[in-house]
Amino acid sequence: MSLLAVEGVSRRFGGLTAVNNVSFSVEAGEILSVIGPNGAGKSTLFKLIAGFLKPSAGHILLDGRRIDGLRPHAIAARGLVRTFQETTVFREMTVLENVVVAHHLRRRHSVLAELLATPGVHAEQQEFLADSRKLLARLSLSGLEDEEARNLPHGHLRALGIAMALAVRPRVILLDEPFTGMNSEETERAVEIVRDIRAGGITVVLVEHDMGAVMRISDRIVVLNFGTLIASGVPSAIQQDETVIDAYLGRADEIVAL
Amino acid sequence: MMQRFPALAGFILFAAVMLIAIPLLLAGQGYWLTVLTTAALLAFGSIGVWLTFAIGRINIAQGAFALIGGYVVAILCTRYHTSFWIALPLSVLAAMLVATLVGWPILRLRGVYFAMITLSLTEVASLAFLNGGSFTEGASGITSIPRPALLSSSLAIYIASALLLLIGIVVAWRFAVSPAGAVFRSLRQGEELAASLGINIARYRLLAFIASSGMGGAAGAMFAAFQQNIFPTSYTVNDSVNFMLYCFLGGLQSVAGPVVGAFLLVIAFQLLSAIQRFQALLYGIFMIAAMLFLPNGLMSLPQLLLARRDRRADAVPPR
Amino acid sequence: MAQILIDGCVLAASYALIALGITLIFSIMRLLNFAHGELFMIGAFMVYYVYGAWHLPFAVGLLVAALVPALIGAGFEKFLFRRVMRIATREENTMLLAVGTAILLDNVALFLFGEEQHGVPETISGVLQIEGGFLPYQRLLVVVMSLVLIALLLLFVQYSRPGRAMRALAQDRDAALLMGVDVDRTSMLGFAIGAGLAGLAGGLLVTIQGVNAGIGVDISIKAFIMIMIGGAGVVSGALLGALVLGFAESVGYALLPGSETYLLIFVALVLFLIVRPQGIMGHPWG
Repeated sequence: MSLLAVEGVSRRFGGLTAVNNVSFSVEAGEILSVIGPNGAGKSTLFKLIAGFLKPSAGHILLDGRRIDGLRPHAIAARGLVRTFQETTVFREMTVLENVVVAHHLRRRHSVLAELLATPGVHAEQQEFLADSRKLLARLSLSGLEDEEARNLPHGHLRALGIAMALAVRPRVILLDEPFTGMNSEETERAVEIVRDIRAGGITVVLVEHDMGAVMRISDRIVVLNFGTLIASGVPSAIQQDETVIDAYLGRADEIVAL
Repeated sequence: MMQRFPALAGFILFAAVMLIAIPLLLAGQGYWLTVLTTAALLAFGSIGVWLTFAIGRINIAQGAFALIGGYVVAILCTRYHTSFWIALPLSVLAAMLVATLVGWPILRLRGVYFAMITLSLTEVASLAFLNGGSFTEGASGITSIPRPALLSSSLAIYIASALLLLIGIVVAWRFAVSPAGAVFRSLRQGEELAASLGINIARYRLLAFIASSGMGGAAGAMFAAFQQNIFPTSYTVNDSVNFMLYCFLGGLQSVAGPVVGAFLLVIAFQLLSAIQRFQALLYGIFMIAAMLFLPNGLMSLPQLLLARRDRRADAVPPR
Repeated sequence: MAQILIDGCVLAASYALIALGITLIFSIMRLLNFAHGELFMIGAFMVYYVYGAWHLPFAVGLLVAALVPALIGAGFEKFLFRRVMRIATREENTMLLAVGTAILLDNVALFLFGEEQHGVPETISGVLQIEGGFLPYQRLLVVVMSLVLIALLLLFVQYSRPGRAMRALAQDRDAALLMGVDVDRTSMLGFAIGAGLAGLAGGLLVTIQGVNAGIGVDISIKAFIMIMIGGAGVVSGALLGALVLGFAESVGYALLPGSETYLLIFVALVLFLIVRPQGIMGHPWG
């Protein structure tokens, strides 16, 4: 059984069908990329899976259990988290505080116990601090612990966003354009990070425009155009797929490095 | 961690002044005890509003909850001869109940929309109590509310209010430094991000709103017992706005902000009573000046001054 | 029945001026003008003094009723809001500044004009009878003038250069900047016009309702209600909101005693907003 299954999912906004009867599945441990020209419905699909939108039709299953219709925090509790492009982090907190807050789902004490600062709460905080430091080290952010998040450059912000998502200990992580806006050096680091995430046993689904990185890193690729799934398969197959090439070439604004 | 020591010292000093110095120095001064009681209770209500600011909402409804708290005490103590000490928790519960019912649907609104709808709530409360028929006695309000047992003197009421405030400060402070406080801050800085990390944003928002309203209700209840009357006009939009103002003036970064703001303005207002005619006018000018020159509140003043000193030091050419 | 319709129209037309004014300011600056009611009140007092007390022509009174609030509005934008909007770390700062300006104007007015209620003599006397309802010519004049002013404003916003600049700012601030729209001047003009509309509404309505220094808050609240109903920042929303409030008031006052009407209006409003928080025509916000 696939870890994540999207079955016949559609989403309409008034007269516009942003996502049209899309079905695909993601196996545990794989890196799957969702690509497509601008306006193909990738970010809508993303929001549907993560619970920020409800499908107009279809189901989404995580580990065989339906998650469509659940709110984002409930989906996170089931093991699926996402990263963001804009509000990647909590800007007014320090880098360390950001990652600590992301341990929310692992809190074991009541608010009352926290107010009273019981020894159990204190031990848990120490545990979260240690875990946060490890995650920051893994993402090469160690020296920046006490820096206010808003002072970080873009690449570090994205890395911090990933560290926070990892703090939840998810089974599936949805990365929202992890390579966009990066130079080749930053992209390399990001590719390493994604591989490292998968090596840690987490399944990765990403939405992306940067073809080069996508082709290098994905186990499988799914292509959307005008809200419909037009192709899916391994990178080499997608590169040669006629419908995919048409879809991209038909759009003058897309420059594709296939 | 080191930053907490000045704060703790500050709090102990404040508590000492409130509970020891003032009773000793002002025991016979009914007028000033009244002013300080008012300041303490308004500060308490403002801490509630501060909690809603903490989750990123502009709450102009605190007057409504103060009104609810006040009327519950008024009706229970005059008509049903309930003890104030039972009416007080009941008034807090009533305020919290209304907050739950109303808060659940409106908290998903943000910014100006939330502000406008909470402003409407203050009006609704006023009008509801005005039109409550014989139950709320309409425009004539409820008067001759008996003084609570144990709180018959001005001094006793002052001490009770000061204690309430101190407890409120401690609880809000503990909350702010706890993981739950970090969750609140995350709500303000990125609701969607918080949700994606597993934070039940609806539940936490409601929690903040309920806590805020409870504090408003308690303040209203204490005022009713203290002033011994309540009217539909006891809390208007102006009062709801004032709660916001105290938070802003003091600064929203810490729980000290609303307390400082409330005390400063209430005391300053009283001192200006000599210039009665210009009191409210100066109030408005003061508000504008504060926004122009101290947008982050008074508590940001030390930082501002330090920054200015540093800039001047930088400007001096090195030898 | 006819009377209710007539009264509703009169109220809706004049309220529309208020709603359009606050909507203009909101759409350009994303600012809720808490002092809008006070600007209305000042306009009303201008007509009271110029026309009522000094016996100059009503038209002159209206001119002053538009100009004085407009100047105040421009001043607020240039000297207060512009600066605070630049340095504010949180959006609440500008809202609190707006509240401060309202308090300021309230108290200046109280100081200058005193507490008493004032009225002005009719500019036209006589009553029209329509289908069993009475429409005093004075009220008809108010309706006609309101409609003319609304039309003028809509034409201005649609076809004039500054008007188009305002619409650009309202729709997409960044794009407008890139297109070379002078944000500061457009904002100032927008605030001035919005304030002027409030003043004109006051100047017109003083002939029917009179004025006292305390009505500022109530009118501001009515303005808020209208944009909450219709949708903030949208002209059609403002007009719809005015229509709904005007008729809600006329129906309510005909059927219920005074304050109950507004209690019902508010409760209905809160319930409506729970279902549709952005108002009838509004874009989802927040």
